[in-house]
Amino acid sequence: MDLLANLSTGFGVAFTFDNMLYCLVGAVVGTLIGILPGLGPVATVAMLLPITYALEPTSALIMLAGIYYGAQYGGSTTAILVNLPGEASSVVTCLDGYQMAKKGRAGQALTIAALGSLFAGCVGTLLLAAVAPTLASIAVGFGAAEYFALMLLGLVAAVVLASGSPVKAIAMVVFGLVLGTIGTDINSGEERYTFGIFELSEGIDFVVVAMGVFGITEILRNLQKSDDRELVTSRIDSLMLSREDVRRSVPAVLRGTGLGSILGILPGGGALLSSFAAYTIEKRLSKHPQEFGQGAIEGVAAPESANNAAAQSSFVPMLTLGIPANATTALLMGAMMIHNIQPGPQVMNNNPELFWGLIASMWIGNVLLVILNLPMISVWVKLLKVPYRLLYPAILVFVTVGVFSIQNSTFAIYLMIGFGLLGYVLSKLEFEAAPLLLGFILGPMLEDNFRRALLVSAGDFTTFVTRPVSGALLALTAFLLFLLLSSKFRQKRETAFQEE
Amino acid sequence: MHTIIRNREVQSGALLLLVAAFFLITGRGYEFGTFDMMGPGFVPLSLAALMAVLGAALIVWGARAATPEDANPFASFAVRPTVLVLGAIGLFALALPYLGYLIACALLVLVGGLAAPDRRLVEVMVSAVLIPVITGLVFIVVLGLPMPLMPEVF
Repeated sequence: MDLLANLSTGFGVAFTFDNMLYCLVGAVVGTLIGILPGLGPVATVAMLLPITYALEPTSALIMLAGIYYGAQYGGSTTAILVNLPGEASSVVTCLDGYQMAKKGRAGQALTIAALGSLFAGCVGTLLLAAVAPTLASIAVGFGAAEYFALMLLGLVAAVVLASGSPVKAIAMVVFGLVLGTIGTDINSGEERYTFGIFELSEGIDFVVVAMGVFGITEILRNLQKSDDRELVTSRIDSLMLSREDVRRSVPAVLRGTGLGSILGILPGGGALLSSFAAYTIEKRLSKHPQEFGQGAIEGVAAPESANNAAAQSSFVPMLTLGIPANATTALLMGAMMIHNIQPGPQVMNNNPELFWGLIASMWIGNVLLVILNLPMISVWVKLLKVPYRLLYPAILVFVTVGVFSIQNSTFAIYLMIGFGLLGYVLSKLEFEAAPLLLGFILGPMLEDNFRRALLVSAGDFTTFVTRPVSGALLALTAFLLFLLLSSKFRQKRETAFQEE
Repeated sequence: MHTIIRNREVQSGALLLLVAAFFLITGRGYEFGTFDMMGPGFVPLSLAALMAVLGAALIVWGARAATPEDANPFASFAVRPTVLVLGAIGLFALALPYLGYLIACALLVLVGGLAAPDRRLVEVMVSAVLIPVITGLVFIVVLGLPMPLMPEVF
């Protein structure tokens, strides 16, 4: 069995003292930012990227990945105890989790959230380990046309799966693509939109964009509303589930895990969408749908499993195709590039210890997270009482110094101020920032492959359609666009995002 | 007219048009090229044009759907926090090369800290002492980031 041999290599890497330590650090930081509302994994990973320059690439990725899925665990705690999503993807958990807590069943809600996440995390990781080699072996034969088609599919899927207006999401993707053209054109060597500014000749660093439109914008948005966090209870009596709880949760966890694993692979899908979808499905299938919103345990079990499964499986496109599924995996891709590892199908062959080490570390991380989140829950509850006004100045310092340290230049800080303001204005107009960042990161790759494909075919556009893989991918893209325009699907999509 | 201007979609479209116009005008000199030999201008100019079309569509749709009840999306724009937070970051960038990390960071925390609606002056001042010292130790002494710790004169 190849898989077993590969996994044992992976565990060999992940079980070293250093990597265990980084995994733990990632899990702790992830839980922390998951619990604190107003600080998401995107901003945190962006903030910590510069610090990982000094680490081994494997350790760096293990830690950053831990932050990402750790946040899915931590987010549920805040959702259950305070009725605020500590992390965007735990919005749905608020509905029933908080009601459970109000009925004195906070312990049970926390337990099922953590155990469901653990199960989902393990399955999602297994799926990643099983699917990745096959996908990567297919992708090795891809040419420029296939890559172009694949990235286009990714961007369109991100639009379809984003909440809110599709036209605005497309506009944000295009905006991101345009911003991505800033810098020196690789084909002609001509500088575009640099206005003679030396710092722009290499293009804008994606960390600057991410910190601006996520980090700074998040702070500004948090500061405009009042910070009233009220804990429903600071004492948690029992974490034990009753037999009835288990009977009702098991199918919900299974369904949530399956749904999350699949949706997580789709570009732009990820954790938030899967938790919404899982909740909707549970409510549909339930024999007692009237209990949903009143503290039904399935309403916690399913979305929490789904979001963690999605968090793991969203590594699939990034590790096998070099295409990020969402903003956080885009940042992780950036972390690989910092260490001169080109994300894509070659990673598995060129850096097997990194690839399998990262996968193995996810199992370890998920187990660590259950330990961190259940027996030590009272520690985290205390943290919830720290008001935002004490927190954000420190976040500001980390964000600013992080951006400065990319190239040790204050120019990046000024740029980030601009992107922070842009992000805040965009949020007022209900534009989403995630498609912008995705477009920005994929932009240069998309342009490069587009131009190369047409160069090879001597300007013949049929090359995209006549090559079978690229043709199939473009057909799928066209189908998704068609879905987006059909009014029936639009209605379904809207209800999926507004399930209340 | 006033109703239309206040509509969120109209404003969104206007913003897209503005950005598209910027990239189209400043990039007008870039060579467009042909399909088999694309110039540097091909991709950015086509994308900017697409953005302009999307912007125009949003304006038309928004203008049609606009009602006098539409709330101005910028009515809730938090001017004070925005100015203080962004200003504080700018201050940090300006001060860092001359005054060193400790002072620049203290300014950042002090000015930025005033942005919270429920701010307390004493807390902000304590933070402005503690955060620079602790993060200075971490960033400069432990991680070795190349930033001056002290003002230039020392």
